[in-house]
Amino acid sequence: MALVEPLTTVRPPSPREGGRPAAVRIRHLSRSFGALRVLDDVRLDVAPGEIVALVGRSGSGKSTLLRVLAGLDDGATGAIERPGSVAVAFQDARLLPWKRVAANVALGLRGPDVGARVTRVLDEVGLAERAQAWPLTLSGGEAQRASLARALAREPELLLLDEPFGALDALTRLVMHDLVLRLWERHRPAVLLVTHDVEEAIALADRVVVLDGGRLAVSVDVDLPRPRARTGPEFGRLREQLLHALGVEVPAVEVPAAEVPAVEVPGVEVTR
Amino acid sequence: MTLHVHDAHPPPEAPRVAEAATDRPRAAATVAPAAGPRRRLPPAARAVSPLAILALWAVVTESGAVDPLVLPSPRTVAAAGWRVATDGTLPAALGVSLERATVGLAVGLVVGLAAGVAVGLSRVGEAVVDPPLQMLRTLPLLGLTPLLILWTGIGETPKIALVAIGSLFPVYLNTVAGIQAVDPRLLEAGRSLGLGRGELLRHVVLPSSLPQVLVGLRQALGIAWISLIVGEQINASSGLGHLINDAREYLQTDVVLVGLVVYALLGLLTDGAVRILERKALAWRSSNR
Repeated sequence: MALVEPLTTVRPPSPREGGRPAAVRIRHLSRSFGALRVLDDVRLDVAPGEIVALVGRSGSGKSTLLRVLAGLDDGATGAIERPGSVAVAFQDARLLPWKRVAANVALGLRGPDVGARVTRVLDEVGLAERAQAWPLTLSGGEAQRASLARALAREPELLLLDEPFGALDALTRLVMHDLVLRLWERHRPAVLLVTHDVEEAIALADRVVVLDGGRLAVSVDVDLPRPRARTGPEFGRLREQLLHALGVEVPAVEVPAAEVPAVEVPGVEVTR
Repeated sequence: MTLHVHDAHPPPEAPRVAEAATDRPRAAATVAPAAGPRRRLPPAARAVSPLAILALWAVVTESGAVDPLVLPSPRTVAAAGWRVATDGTLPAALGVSLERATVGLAVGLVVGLAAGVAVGLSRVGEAVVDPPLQMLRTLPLLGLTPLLILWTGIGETPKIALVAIGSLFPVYLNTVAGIQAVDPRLLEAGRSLGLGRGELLRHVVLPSSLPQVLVGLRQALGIAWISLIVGEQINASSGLGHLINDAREYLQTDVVLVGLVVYALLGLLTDGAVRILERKALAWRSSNR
């Protein structure tokens, strides 16, 4: 299906105005770069407060989809509805190196109490004492915290996370997963998390969507209580299902549910 | 002391400028690698060879082996320096020269920055502004002097114009390069934060190009002094260049040397000032070293 209409972006009616309960509605979204069709007639809804993880191989179009939603790509066609306040956290934290952490968080914030909001949100991500640090002096994890704080400071109704933990070491990544969930529980934005880490997707999301060749291939609901242990038969089943959808065949870990080994290394990378 | 004559950019400066020129800040969150560890000599070590040269100069001249008209002794030069400093000729000349340099540099800076921003930010600006500036740049700057005198007479204008034209190009070229080297990912981050065009310019584009602009400023200062010296020696009735020229006519080699030393010191001082400015304005860059 080829819609050659330019992209229309609307702000959905708020529930108060009697609108449908969707933070994001994407219909017939396509994006081509030359002859290459990166997104092909994508349809996706994200409910308010829902975490949707978008997984896919490199070049599957997942980052393009996020960029379109962020308003950073205006070459797409189709229709999207998204909230008025959208914030993005990128894989490379993208802090302005010539502004101290607090000034980075305050970027683009309007209103009278910017200072107080910045202090509060830096406190929430555990960076209060680094507020006056230069970004180049931060560790990778700290930079990501600052980037998250910058995104959250605008109280977004939609939070877009573009592989925000991709460049972090495995231990820091686990800590950051906890942090994101805590922040999400407090602020309850709708979250679209782009990742290529299947375990990360299952650990965080309400729903995992697999993008393949620019099309939505599979959508899997994750019905596990949070916080989620990365062990257990259900987790393993979801992982296998998603890896299969991604075209990765995991050799012979066909363990009957009851015999899942008790000891398992947490956070083991399967998808890299 | 004679060595100082060439010292508008003394040896320790040269590598620093080159390093700054290639060290464009394009890193967003990537940490620039610090320079490798190199054992440093004590600072006093740098004073040894200049002092030796000074001593050699003193020995050769005081012994009478050299005609003082060709090369007066350090003592004579110092005395001449004291004389022109106290009888008011040097302060007066210095004041005039400083004013010309300041005004010319200010004009060159403003025009160079404005043109650089226009060209760096807009394709239309690049198409319109860049060609004539590049054409003008290929002209030998000092060759313009006769034309400037014909156009603007022999007053202050040709000297100031020479300084302005000379300092314009380094500022212009470095501003354009700095702006065009802005990390597109940072621009994107700024847009995702809802920054408008003006805010992107103020928070992202200009701070990102500042290091490069400061490199341009340092080059501009060097060229400004050279332009001024030439302008003042060709046609002037006041200023440092006039002081030197006058001294030459009366065969006062010692005063000529005093004038040259003053030029060198001015170059050193202004360069040091820019370096202090750099350290303050670019604190974010060095703080991780």
